[in-house]
Amino acid sequence: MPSLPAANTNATVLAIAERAAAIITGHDRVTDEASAVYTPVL
Amino acid sequence: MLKQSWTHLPLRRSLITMTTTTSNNSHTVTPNGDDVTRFDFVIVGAGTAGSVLAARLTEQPDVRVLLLEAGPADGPERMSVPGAWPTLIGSEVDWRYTTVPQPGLGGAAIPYPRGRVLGGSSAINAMFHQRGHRSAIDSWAAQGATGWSYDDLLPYFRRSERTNGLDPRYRGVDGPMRPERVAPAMPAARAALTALQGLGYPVSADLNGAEAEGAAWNEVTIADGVRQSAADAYLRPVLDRQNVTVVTGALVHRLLITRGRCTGVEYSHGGIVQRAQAHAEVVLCAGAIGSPQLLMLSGIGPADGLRAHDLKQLVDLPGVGANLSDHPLGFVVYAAPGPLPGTVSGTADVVAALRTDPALMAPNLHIIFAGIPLAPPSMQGQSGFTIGFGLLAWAPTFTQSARASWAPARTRSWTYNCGSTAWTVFVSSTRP
Repeated sequence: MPSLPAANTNATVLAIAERAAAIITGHDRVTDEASAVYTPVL
Repeated sequence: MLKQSWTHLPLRRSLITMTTTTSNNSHTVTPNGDDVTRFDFVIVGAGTAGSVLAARLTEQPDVRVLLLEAGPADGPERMSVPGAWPTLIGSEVDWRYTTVPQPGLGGAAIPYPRGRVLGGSSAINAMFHQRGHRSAIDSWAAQGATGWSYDDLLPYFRRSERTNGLDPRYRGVDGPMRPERVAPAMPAARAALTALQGLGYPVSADLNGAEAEGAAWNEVTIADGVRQSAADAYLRPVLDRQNVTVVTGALVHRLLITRGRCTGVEYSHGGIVQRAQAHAEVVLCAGAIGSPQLLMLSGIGPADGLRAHDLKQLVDLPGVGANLSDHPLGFVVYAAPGPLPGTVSGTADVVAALRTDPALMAPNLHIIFAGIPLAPPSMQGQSGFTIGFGLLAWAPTFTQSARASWAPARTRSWTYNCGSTAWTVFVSSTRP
């Protein structure tokens, strides 16, 4: 998180981790900028 | 499907022996003649993020995941008891970090609890389930994290949770987490909500919905009366999958870097140093303290700091371990002559996310009411209640830097600079 979400962080960590899994498994796409350094492996 | 480039690589499952303990249904592995185990993914840390990733990645049966957790598979029974969470701070399931002496706090070094057990800090925290404010998360994109606005994350907030009777545009209905609203059963809590309303603050029907500002009944990760950690929600239900291996008591020492790519980890388990290789990826989920610490131990961090600790530098990344932000909370505890009437939730009953200045883009102040005395040990066992004030400033206004200690299990303190006026801010900013 670049900065706090203006709340306790646990719920936001859940969402970020859900998205991380989706990116890794190819169910969500990384941005064009991020794609320069990361390619989903699944 | 897995890419052919690495699916054909041999997976040496025969090298490990899986056992299932009857008490917690967790898997452990024991090396059998080889100190290297190989998986598709190695996840470091079975806390909130690690539990989610292990569960989601192993939904694909051909993906093999190793999940390493430094702490035990389970902790004391009171971990499940919502009202017992203060007793978990400093317990065997806490990393027991402390800050260095804080100039702004009269030189006091304060505990900095982090969960060290399956579920991580979600297994020991105060169980708040609050997303925060749209503007605060939208600021991430404005800071350069393109594609990480509130709307980008909303599908994943929804995917993570299962709620009933709330606005489905915002709230999930079939996810693993089952957050519950605190029942308004304590007259003192109702009085607190009424008082906040009387001061002119709006009352929100759902702080995790369209009205992410104001006072509300708290929403907590308590399901059927017991704490629901991320491990309870995500990990334990999938432990019977053959493609997930969880090793508890596994302290990761460093990442293994080969030709500029992280290919595995080195960790100790049962007093033996072992290695695990990842054909696909190593996913670092060791938390806000543990993740930068492991990067530094692996030679990835600020060059001057690495040199100062005789660590070989692989990558000079000054931002590693810096700019830690948090939401400090101060308590005012009131003693009561006898038990307060009504049902005790065990955590904060009422929470308010407020702005001290209407010009701010997002709430910067938490006010909580808890029907229990969150008190020092001298008051434990007494009746009372607590009013808490927390700083939610989404810009890091008080933290200058926090750099993790370097040795894997030796040092337990680091710099955490609370500004000298921080605590004054709490008191002076409680009026609208």
